[in-house]
Amino acid sequence: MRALLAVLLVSFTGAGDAQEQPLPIFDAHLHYSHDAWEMVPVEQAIDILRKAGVKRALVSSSGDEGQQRLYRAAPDLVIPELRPYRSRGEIGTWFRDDTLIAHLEDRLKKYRYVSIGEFHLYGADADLPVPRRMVQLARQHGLFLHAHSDADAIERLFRQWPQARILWAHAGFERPERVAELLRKYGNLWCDLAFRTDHASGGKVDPAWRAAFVQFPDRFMVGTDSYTPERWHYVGGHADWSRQWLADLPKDAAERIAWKNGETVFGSLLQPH
Amino acid sequence: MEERRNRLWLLAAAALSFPAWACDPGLEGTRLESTRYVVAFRAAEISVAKHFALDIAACARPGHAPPDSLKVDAHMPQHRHGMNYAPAVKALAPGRWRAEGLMLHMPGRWELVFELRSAGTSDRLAHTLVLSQVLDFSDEEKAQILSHGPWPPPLERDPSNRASGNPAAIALGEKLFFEPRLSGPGSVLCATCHVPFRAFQDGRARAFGLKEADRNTLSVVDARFYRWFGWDGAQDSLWAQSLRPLLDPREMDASPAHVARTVRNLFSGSYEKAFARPVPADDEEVMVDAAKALAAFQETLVSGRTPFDDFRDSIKKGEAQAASRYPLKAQKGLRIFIGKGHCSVCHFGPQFTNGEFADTGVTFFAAPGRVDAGRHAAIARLQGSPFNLLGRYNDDPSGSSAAGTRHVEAQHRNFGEFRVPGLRGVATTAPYMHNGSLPTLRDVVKFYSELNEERLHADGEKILRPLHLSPEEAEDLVAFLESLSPTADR
Repeated sequence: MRALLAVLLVSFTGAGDAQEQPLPIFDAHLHYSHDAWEMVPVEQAIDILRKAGVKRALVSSSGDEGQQRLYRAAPDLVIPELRPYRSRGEIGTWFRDDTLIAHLEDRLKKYRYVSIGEFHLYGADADLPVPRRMVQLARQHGLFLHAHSDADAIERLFRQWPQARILWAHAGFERPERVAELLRKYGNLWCDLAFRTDHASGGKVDPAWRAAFVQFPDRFMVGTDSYTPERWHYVGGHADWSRQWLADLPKDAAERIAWKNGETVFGSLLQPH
Repeated sequence: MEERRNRLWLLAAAALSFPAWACDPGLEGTRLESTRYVVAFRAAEISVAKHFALDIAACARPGHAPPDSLKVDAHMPQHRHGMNYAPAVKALAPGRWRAEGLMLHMPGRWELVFELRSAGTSDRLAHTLVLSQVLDFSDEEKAQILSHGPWPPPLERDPSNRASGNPAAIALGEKLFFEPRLSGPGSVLCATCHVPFRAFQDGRARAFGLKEADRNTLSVVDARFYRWFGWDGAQDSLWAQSLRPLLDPREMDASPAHVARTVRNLFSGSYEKAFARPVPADDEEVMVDAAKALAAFQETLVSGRTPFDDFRDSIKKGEAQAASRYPLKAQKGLRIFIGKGHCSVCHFGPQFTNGEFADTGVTFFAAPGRVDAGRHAAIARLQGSPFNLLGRYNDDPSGSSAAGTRHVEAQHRNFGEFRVPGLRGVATTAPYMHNGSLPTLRDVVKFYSELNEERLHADGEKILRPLHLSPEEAEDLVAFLESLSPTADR
């Protein structure tokens, strides 16, 4: 009888393990730009996200049509943000292009977004008239800014609008100490870790990064960065890789970084019309 | 009549046999002679597209009147044109002139012509000048040029392969390389894709053994110098790389048992000579040894010297004349390659490769809905392979050959990265890129000239920017790349 109980207990525990769901992922850095639609059709892109265990995804697209298509197909899954590029080639020119503002205003009238980004902006360029006007638009519409920027540009954006809420893409490819310094300084700053591998190796979190994650567990998110259509096929691999290193953190911090922070920060922003 | 004939004979004999009869123009330089005059000329320097002056002296042979005027010109017989400038000839003294304003505006064979006049008659003396050019490479450029040699480099045996450099193993490997019965169906051999007369590749966009594969066939020439093997580096030794197509169902579709059976049935004698033991009972062990023999054979495939190597060595020795034989277009292309093109940042060293991997924006969809993840997936395969250098088949007791395998780790950027290929023999290995998507070298140069930045990560390699080459620059770069292949007479 005791043996039978032991077998039953083992079986029960095993069944419990098998049913355990993989850690959900909030993917905070996806693009679905004009070059992606044909290569990864909407249905396939949605399927990739669901199969990867992505609970929600913050998606922008050069041309701004892609993420609207995704959003229409899966509003429970896709959170749209407005990218200030009509084509991806504007990465290095948009901040001096006056015509861009009319484009942003037009899109903001027609569609709903939680953020403006991801945009590339470095140093003093952040204080040019076009970025300033973009910040004003974000303020006017209550939107996040998703900035692929160095620390200098992040600080300039906060000077323009101290109450701004900024998602710092790739955390500026800065060292963890510098990232933590800015997180201490600005309570409305969050970080995505897209396209970085320096924070974890072989499933183990780097000590300096661990300190930042533990100190600011509610300020980090993960993201794939699908800057080419092909990289949509890396969403699943990236999610698995993220789960691997997140497992090296305390469970609460891991869950926050994996999905809760994204859900908390962005999930409630899309209010119905 | 008889007396006149004798006099002519005497004159001819004198001209041929008694040079003392010739006059001395009194100027050290290049000397030209006609029956009436001797001309000497010299210039400080004659180089392409640079104005120069000539100091000229002439004298009349005994019995002839001294020249009273001189005209100087130059032309290119093959191109049927002359100079773009009319030189001025100034008489300095009787029999001495200075011609100024000459300019030979392109490299090639020129004829310098001196027309001497005297009392209504004229003599035309010509000197052929092959004008080549060596660009004024800076010391920094020269250092970069030298870094692409010498060639061939010292050959070292592969410590992970006990058959490396063993003549009996090389002989066995050569037999196996051309043996169709090594493949599962008995119809495909290594040389099906690695065709000797096609520089040991196949000229196809994508390899086709038994079925079409996703990638272009790499040449195995110079493969012995690689660190990683294949387009994605999923193998860390030439012998492990030789196993891969044997087992791939699209290529040779064999099994360890099939390979071992083929070796036992057809090559047991050669095996014993190569490995100094009877063919073992373990099929996998036999297959790995077959791959090691194949690798030993492929190690003998080293590319020959190229026009670039001659140029590079001339630069090293400071031999301008020899260096000038290297075509000007290739030199200009070389300057782009090591300069504004930044090509040598990745394509560096004697093999013209850093041996690593890069994403240059080439699409990596293998088929609709399916990507070829390249280096990223390869690292996982490498680490899981029983045939990697960390495994039991590595013959290197020191373990140092496995350092790369021990430390390599996948990064996000590896997704869609492929080999930075060596460029030796590149003109003979079309088509190009991992998927054979670019048919010619001109297409490759155009690809980099018009590089699609939208496919590159904003924080990727900053050197990967469109080169925006002019048509002439693009042709120069192609000329340089073509000079990295051995010529037929080598």
